[in-house]
Amino acid sequence: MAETQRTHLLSSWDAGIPEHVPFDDLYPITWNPEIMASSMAAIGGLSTARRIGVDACSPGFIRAAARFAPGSQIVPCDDLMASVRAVKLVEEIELVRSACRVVWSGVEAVLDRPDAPTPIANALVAMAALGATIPSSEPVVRSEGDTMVVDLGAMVDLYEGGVGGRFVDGRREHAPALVDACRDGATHEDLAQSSTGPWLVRGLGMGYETPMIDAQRGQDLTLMTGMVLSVTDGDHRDVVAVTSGEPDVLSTPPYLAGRPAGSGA
Amino acid sequence: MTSELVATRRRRVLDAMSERGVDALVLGRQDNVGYSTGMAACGRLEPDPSEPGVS
Repeated sequence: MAETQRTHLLSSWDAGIPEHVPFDDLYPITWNPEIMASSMAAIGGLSTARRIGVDACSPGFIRAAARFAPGSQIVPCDDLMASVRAVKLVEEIELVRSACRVVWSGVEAVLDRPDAPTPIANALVAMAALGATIPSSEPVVRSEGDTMVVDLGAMVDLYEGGVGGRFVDGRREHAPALVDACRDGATHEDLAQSSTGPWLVRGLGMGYETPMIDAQRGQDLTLMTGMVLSVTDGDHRDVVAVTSGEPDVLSTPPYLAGRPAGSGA
Repeated sequence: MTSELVATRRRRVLDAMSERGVDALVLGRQDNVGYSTGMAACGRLEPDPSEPGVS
């Protein structure tokens, strides 16, 4: 609420509720729209709100809002949230970098045992051991002759990490030019000209975010400093933070000089 | 994730509301709720909008 600066959450108990939201600011789950409307009418400032922003809205909510806030206008706010989230805070960038390191542990688990019968399970176990809560994308592990193709993603501490690539003798092939093209001011044309295969540049943070740019989408979008992007070109995927200079590749392998001998690569 | 990060994200949302003249924000997407409040959502993800059938 803008007027009271308070947050009210739909929850019947306080497990998982942030400390800044007191128990009195929770309202209960109910299937009865009458109870829901009365609960919301009791939220300070809501009944007199002129503009109520929503990111998802059912016809039932609009009918309820006409009763608990009769003078209000319902306005879409998907873009408000998307624009706020698109430019990351420094701590958010570091959380994504940490999540990428966790994902690398999954990649290493695959590369360490390329002939294992359950390489994806091995990757998930390795990532879960370091705090991954859920995969953020469909895990990809396949062999093409001497090449292993791996693409993994996971949520860690509510932020996403991801890595993908073609690995020969355990070493990832070089990053495509598309990764380096993700700079402040880069346009759709810049990205398209840098790509070599099917490509996707999309926002990454607490899941899939904006922008969403590929061959068919995002022609009018421009990258800006602070964006964090999942950059896919063919089988390669890196996670990049756009800076005022060179891109900061957050999914850089956690070892600097290549995988140590004996560790699989 | 620190409480300072959650507070800063919440402040950014409130500032954006003020800029647009929005008095109240009713959020249903778990990722937006998590961003604005710090409420954990057990790692739930919204659908991948790049997948076919998701607009």
